[in-house]
Amino acid sequence: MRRLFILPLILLALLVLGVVTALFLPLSPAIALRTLASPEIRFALRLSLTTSLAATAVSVVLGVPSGYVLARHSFPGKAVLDTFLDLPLVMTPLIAGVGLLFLFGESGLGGLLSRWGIRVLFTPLGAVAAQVFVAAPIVTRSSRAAFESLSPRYEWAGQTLGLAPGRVFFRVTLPMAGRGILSGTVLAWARAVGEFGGTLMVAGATRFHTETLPIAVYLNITSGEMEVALSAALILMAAGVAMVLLLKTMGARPAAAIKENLP
Amino acid sequence: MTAVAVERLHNHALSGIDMEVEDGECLALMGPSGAGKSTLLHAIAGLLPYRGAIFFDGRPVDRLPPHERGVGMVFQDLFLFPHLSVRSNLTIAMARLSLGKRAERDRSGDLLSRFGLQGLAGRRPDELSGGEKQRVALARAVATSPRLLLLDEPLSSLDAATAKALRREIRCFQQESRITTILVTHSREEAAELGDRIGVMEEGKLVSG
Repeated sequence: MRRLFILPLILLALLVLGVVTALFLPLSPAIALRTLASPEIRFALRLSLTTSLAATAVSVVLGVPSGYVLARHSFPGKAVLDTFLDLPLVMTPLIAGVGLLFLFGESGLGGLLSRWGIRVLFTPLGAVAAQVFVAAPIVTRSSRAAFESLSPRYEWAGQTLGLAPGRVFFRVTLPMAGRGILSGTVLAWARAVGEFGGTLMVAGATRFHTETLPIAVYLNITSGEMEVALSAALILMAAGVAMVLLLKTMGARPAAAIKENLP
Repeated sequence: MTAVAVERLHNHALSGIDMEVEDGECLALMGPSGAGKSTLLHAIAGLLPYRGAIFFDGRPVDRLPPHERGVGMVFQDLFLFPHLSVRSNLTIAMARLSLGKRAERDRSGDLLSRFGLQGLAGRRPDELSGGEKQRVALARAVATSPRLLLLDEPLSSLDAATAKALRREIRCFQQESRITTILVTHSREEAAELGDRIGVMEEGKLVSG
């Protein structure tokens, strides 16, 4: 039985190893170092960092309060809203991109924003919008789970101590749910950094303008510049590994402190 | 004087409660599980919606949210904040008093020594024994000098020796401070030792006291 179950595990590991090896085998260290320092890769790295951090910040601002409301309050249509908010997680990124393209087009919200001089389509702001669309539900979901794991009686205790609900949220609830929210935020950031389909539709693929790392991979593969494409992929892979390690470290002891607090 | 008249709770867990607690008095509420004792404390603290009227010193508090009622409460499961040190668990309650850092520190120092918690100020709740946690919860509940102290089975989870020692301390503190107190307990011994008067609840009603 054990052997039978170990075999699929080995096959899976070999598959991942095979993909990673196939990706980076053609890339010699000397070429990798040279291309990593190239202006195009440096631009893509900078743009990816800026847009993904902005998207993550917006996702936290939108997702944490949303997660709190879903965790703590009951209202008509909650189940429908909850399902609706999960849609971006299961939607094909390309389709989401088409939706965002129409939403931010001249006949949609984009027309209104352009009156204030804000252009979303085919700008780095478009990349942020596409990333928020996929990252915010992750923050919402993880925040909701983190808040649900906390007894609302901690908030009651805070209120009987004279703390107004806002103070209770920032001094009691948020710090206690912090670890879960932070894990979700890291995951959302990882998703934002790797976002491609939506970004391609909304921001376009223009070198040195809307060229995030995934777009750099796409542009250079289509133009036959494999070394540059693989260098961009190398950075994405390294970022992915770092985030997985970070998540594993953070997930080590979630609710132990809360359990320990009981008499 | 604290007067409580709860006509009923939204889920009918309480009905027709009518009681008064004199200033400085400790009323011990007893009754079987599910009698509505803890629910009544939560309603008095403003944590549960109810139909009726509650007066503190002749003033109605029904429209006041929990953080403005001036009530201190020790919950059955304590709910100490695990991310804060013992001292911060006390000073978090003092924020609304606008005492200033130094006065907050002095007051928390007084409370720590009053409840035998010297040397534990920097510890987190998960590093304390059951009795120490109970003392912190009590010190936290009185940190803002509330006009009414609500104790929801505060000693139920402790061993007999620790409970006995703490009972003596609570009685001593209650008599010194003359803080009006409502205590919920299952223990006759606890009710007799701590309560100036004993009330009995059954099926959401106050049947005696």
